[in-house]
Amino acid sequence: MADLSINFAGIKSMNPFWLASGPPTNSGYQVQRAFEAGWGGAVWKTLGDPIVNVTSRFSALHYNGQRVAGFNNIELITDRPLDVNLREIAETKKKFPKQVIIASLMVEPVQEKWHEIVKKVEDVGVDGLELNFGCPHGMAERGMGSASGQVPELVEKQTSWAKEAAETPVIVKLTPNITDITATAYAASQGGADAISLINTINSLMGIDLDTWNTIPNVAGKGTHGGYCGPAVKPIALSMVGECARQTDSNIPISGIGGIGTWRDAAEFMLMGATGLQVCTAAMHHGFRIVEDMIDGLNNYLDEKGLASVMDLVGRSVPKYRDWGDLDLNHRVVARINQDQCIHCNKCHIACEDGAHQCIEMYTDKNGKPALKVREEDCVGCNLCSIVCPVDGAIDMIEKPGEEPMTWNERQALLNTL
Amino acid sequence: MHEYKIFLKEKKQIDELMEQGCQIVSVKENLNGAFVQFRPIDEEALDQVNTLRLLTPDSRKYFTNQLRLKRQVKN
Amino acid sequence: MRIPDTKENLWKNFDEVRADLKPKEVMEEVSRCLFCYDAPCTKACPTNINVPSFIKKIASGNMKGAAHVIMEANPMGATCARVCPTEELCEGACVLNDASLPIMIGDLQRHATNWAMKNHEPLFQPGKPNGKTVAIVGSGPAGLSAARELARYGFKVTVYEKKDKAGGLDTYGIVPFRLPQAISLWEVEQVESLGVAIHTNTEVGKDVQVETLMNDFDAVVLAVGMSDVPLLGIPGEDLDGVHDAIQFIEKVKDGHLTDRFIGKRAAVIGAGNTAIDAATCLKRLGAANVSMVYRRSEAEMTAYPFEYAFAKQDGIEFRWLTQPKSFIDDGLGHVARMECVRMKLGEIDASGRRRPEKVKNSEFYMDIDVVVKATGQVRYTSLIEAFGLENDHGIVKVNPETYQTSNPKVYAAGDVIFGNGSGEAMVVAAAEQGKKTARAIQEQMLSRI
Ligand SMILES: Cc1cc2nc3c(=O)[nH]c(=O)nc-3n(C[C@H](O)[C@H](O)[C@H](O)COP(=O)(O)OP(=O)(O)OC[C@H]3O[C@@H](n4cnc5c(N)ncnc54)[C@H](O)[C@@H]3O)c2cc1C
Ligand SMILES: Cc1cc2nc3c(=O)[nH]c(=O)nc-3n(C[C@H](O)[C@H](O)[C@H](O)COP(=O)(O)O)c2cc1C
Ligand code: SF4
Repeated sequence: MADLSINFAGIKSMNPFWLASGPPTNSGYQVQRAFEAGWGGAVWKTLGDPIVNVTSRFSALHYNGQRVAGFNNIELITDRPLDVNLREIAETKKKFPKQVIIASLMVEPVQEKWHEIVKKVEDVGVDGLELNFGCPHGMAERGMGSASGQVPELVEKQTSWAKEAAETPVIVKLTPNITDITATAYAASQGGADAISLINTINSLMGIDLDTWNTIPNVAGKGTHGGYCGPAVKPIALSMVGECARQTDSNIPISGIGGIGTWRDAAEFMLMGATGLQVCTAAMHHGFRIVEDMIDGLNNYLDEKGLASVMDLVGRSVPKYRDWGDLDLNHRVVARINQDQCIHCNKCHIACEDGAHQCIEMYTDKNGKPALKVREEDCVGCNLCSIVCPVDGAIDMIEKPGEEPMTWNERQALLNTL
Repeated sequence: MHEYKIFLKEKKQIDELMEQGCQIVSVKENLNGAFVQFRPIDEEALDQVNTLRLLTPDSRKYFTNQLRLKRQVKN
Repeated sequence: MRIPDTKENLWKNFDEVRADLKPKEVMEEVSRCLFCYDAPCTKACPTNINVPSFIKKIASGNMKGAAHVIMEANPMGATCARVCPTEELCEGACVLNDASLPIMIGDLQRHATNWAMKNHEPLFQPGKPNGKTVAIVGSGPAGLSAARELARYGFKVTVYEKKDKAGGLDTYGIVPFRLPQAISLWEVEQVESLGVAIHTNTEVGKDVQVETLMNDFDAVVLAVGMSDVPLLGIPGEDLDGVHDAIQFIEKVKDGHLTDRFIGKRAAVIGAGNTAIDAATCLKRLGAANVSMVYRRSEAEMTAYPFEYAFAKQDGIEFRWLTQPKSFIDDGLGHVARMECVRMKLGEIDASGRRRPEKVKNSEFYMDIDVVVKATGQVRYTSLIEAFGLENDHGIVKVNPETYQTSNPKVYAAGDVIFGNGSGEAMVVAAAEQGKKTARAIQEQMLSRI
């Protein structure tokens, strides 16, 4: 049994699994159920001036019969008064003193407003604060959420205001709706943030109803863009976490969020530099019980890798995540089809023919059976065939011996000497 | 597509020039490919400049690898 | 199936055995399809339905498109979804057989054609009239398929059918719990909606003369299928209670359910697919026990494995290596006993199977109330002779490319050209032959213009 506990910017948690601020952390009842199920912490549904929500609020991308490949919402922050939330936070903290409760906060960009709310939530004993500069809809139109999260100066300023009043660690939650997330990550650390968390949801419109021509979801015939999350956003989130983690001028702790649903996703985010993790959509899709396998699976994985602590995973893949110019141009792989595994769907042939380099040939073997072969010299090793192949192990990408490594940067340096 | 065949042709041209004692003296890369200038090391034939236009990405890798190899031998 | 005791609850036994896929099952199944390139399922279908295409159309919600792809390739697409031996055809060829489980192609085809039946969307239009006329004899799958294609080419098509309803064995021969008659009649309607005139209760050779057809039409397609079960040639065959399987099934299929068989002991002679259909019908009509009597052994039976499994599931008993010798009367003209002789297998015969030989002095008796004979079908030889067509024991000879008979004006398709060793007698094969016949007629008429 490995040690799953983490120390995230000074906040000690029994495991890295926290619920992200959202519907599952809306009330004391829910958060207590989550803690019973095994979650190490919860970031409370964002507190601020109570709002009014619309119905409906959610929609999802179902892909080829698979429900919720992606998830979209137009819900705002908490619609319950602050004192009710604070009372439930205090009560939950009392029942579950070992679990972490983080208060997520969003107020107007005014110094006194930040001071006031920080004091109020710290009074009931939260373990830390998360500043929500991320919601892309609704609140942004009122100058909050991603509207402030997209402007580095506002991020820095508001972070410093929160820090002026805060005694517990301050986490800044970043919006992905920005060209370079490291700019706002940097601004947060300049403002004194103890940690960053990312990503919040991505601007999205789920779809259009082809019968009514309404947006999906629609509110009495009108719609607005929402925030996208769930499995589909994981690659985006992972790359943004990686970009922040590999900034050499800051080693600010990162809480990874975006499409995490299993221990595998969790391990990937940690390897890419996240110390803590937050989950929302997967818990909404399947309930709090999913944390059981997250804990169990991560534990078994660490044992298998011979690692004593989950902290040993953190950042191990970051040095491998580089600029394109650092990749070896001489590295060469080619596709090879294993005839005994191939089921002859010919997907690789048509994919390579129409979408790659026309080097998978269909032929009839000497027993009169259909067969496929890669013309290796023309294969550029793009992976497309092995991606579309439905059978694991039917197409291998084989490494071919090549010249000594030479990156693009090295090549350009060499040419510059001429 | 048999791009490999074009590469083999270009590689042969590069190899031949190298064997004749030419060295790469300049490389211009633009929208139309890589233009690689070869000139004999032999002092007397210095005005004999050969420019190859290389079309395939494999050739563009190949001549840089050859260039590096020559440098390593020299040092 | 339940054991029926009254005529009222007999009906339930004749509902379709296999249920429609539920919407979620459909979505799961279509999502599993790999959308193969140059797909083997399409190649394995005798009518070459573009299976991946129709499955992806279901997945995208383009139901009309899916139904069109199916019915375009196979005018009996709804029937075939239910009666094709898919294990031997498309599903047997599915590449997923090697990786997990084959796609339920038949059931998905059924889902798409169900949509078409429910939504009454016209899928095809008649072609611009080309002034040529074709007479089709027989409205089974072969005749209907030829008729539809010819109508789409612009021919004026007249179909003659001796029965009361069109559709051939789809309407009268394939047991209702696998193919409700309504499905076949919908396909007939589809063909009629293209302007094809179908004259039922009109037998060619009797109500309409062969010469009339030959004189009045530019071409004739003979698609009469096969006829009744041959005589066994043993004593007692004319007794009450001895039936012909084709006629027996026809009554059941046409809705003439009777309580006469409740509690009876029945024997079915033969072990092909028709024999199994007769046996399972008897069981569903309440027969107390049903034995299939076959002169060869289990290994030689011609029924499909899934048919055999279905029969066993219905509680049918099998008497292998047994041949009836005579039927014995109860004194009132009704069959009461069957004298049988045991058989053994000898040398390989012309059909490539071991020849059954009688075992000496092995005669024994079975007490029975009902006999259904299902030992193949005879040919409409006299009609074929009336057309003056070359034939081999009633199997009309055709050019395998053009389906032209020895008389270039007469074409033939379906069971009427089905002979030993030339594949299976299947609806899908008949439909494909009808399609090809129509194409040949179109090509030959055009080349003459
Ligand atoms: C009991 C049974 C079960 C079967 N089950 C299956 C199955 O599950 N799957 C499968 O694929 N196949 C099955 N088949 C085989 C399939 O039904 C036939 O192969 C197919 O129907 C042949 O089509 P056809 O158009 O050639 O002939 P038919 O369907 O026999 O149609 C011929 C038509 O011509 C008419 N006709 C005959 N003579 C004349 C005349 N002189 N004038 C006018 N009309 C005439 C007949 O009344 C009939 O309507 C089964 C057959 C039987 C007997
Ligand atoms: C492998 C790959 C290479 C691409 N290269 C280019 C490119 O060179 N130029 C460009 O404008 N877009 C490029 N794109 C982006 C596509 O044009 C397109 O905008 C994007 O894939 C989104 O569309 P899709 O996901 O619906 O296919 C590329 C996409 C892929 C998948
Ligand atoms: S790796 Fe790319 S180029 Fe090579 S065979 Fe596969 S699809 Fe074609």
